[in-house]
Amino acid sequence: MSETDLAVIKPEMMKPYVWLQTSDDSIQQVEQEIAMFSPLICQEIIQKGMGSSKNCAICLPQQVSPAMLSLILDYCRFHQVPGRSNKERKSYDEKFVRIDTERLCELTSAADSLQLKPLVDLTSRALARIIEGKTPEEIRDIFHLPDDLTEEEKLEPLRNITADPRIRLLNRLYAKKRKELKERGRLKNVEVEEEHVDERSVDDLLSFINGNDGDPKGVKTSKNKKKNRRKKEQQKNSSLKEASEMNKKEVNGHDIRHQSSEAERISETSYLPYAEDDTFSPKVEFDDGDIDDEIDPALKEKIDREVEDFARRLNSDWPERMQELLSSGQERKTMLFTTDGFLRRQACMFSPCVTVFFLIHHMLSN
Amino acid sequence: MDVEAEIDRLPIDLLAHIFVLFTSFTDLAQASGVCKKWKQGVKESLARRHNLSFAGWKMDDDSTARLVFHAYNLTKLEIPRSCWGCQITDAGLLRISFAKCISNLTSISLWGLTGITDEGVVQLISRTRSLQRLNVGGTFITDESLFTIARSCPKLETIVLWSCRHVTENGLFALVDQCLKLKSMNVWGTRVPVECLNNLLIVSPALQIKV
Repeated sequence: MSETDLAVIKPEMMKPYVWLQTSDDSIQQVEQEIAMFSPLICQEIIQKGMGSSKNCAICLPQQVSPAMLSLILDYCRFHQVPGRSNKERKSYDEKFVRIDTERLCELTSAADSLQLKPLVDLTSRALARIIEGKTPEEIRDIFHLPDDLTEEEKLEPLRNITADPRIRLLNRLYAKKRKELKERGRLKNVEVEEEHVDERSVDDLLSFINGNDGDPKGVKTSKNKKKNRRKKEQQKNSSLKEASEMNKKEVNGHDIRHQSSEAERISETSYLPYAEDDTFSPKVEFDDGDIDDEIDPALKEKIDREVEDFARRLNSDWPERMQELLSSGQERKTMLFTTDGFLRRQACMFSPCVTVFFLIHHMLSN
Repeated sequence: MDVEAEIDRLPIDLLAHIFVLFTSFTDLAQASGVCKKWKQGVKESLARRHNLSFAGWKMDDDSTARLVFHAYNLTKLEIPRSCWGCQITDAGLLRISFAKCISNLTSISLWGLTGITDEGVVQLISRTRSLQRLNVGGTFITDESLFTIARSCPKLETIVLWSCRHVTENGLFALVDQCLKLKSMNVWGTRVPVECLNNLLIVSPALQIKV
């Protein structure tokens, strides 16, 4: 290169450059003076000697895309020029952050990752201005944010700001909503309790006992049947006291107080629909009033006879049988006998139809 | 939501930095109702604050205490009487006194809080160790509070006792005697006689007394 050529070279052409690699692996050549605005890049150059060639380009953080890098470099170039007035700088900054919110967020993230504090402050202030004076719903719409707060968290009273009459009104509204939520919760609980009621028809129950896979046909219970069921439940509740008293007496020479108390405890803690004290006499009494009404008399008689026979056989060696039942996973089902020798069930875990099935199964196995 | 929102990619500390720039507690409360991450960001922004001023806000004991509890790094706390009237009581000051930041506070303003007495002020001041500026003007404190201030605030430089009509020369002497760094004292509207103030200047000639 001749002297005349050297004379033509301007001072800015002599500036050293650094190589920067952005998140999409593209490499850019940037003036070192401007790149050094970022403490992160400055550290890479001084301490590690990176960026001097294309092969050892400085890898920028993931948040810095090529578009964001060019924006950041524009900002640095403007502020690097000496002799600009504060008014000029302010005016430039205001125009610089007049971009859509998505790009503004991206720019904030990129500036933060490059540790450019002045730019982070500028973009943060711009974001703060966007957020100020907006409701949570409006903020979510602007920034496309998920609504992951629970109803309870949302309806927490905004106690810090009671000066604002809008917030006072909002808190009243929240209080109303909280009440509605509670009522809805109660209604749901009631519905769940109602769902527990066994609404199956007799045919379905019998097919279940016989082991057939027939299509169940839901038979709706009439009002009379429901009334009948309520009456039976009332009768049952009134007989509970007598039953518990009888349980505390000695039966067949064995003191069974501990068993009855255990059974009472189970019946108290159990939330299952049929976890109530039932007395199984030779006549099998179902809880469901509608089943009682519709069962075939001949079949009923047959079942009664079989159960009575089973009860008699069971009564002859009940302690051993009791042991067997308990060991075969029936601990939760405490079976006791009254002085008449009839089987009493405390806190049965199954619906009546399953209990009948259980009894018949045992009888057949013997 | 299929695509992650751009602002959702910002780390919580950067969100907190944005929330620190909010001037209104209303905006802070609204931001905390956006999503869980923002709620956390608001808490963190309070933890970053060095100054907390409730001037112009209708604050009560509960809300003030809750905010101060979150502001771990607080050095300046202002709870002056606002145009809405005073709702801070001794119970509020007692709760505030258990906040982590209290021992690091360098400036406290309780200006015009007519609902507070010696009981609350003593509880609060006895837990401060770094206090340099204290404004208890317009309150009904007595010498009992001044004795506690004298004992607990060796670094105290400025105190405003504007219109504290129950303060006597005994309390002021205790202050001047034990707070060796005390430079300025505003006693306008107090019932302390001028002779007493002259005596204070003899004890501490560098002291500026505003009457």
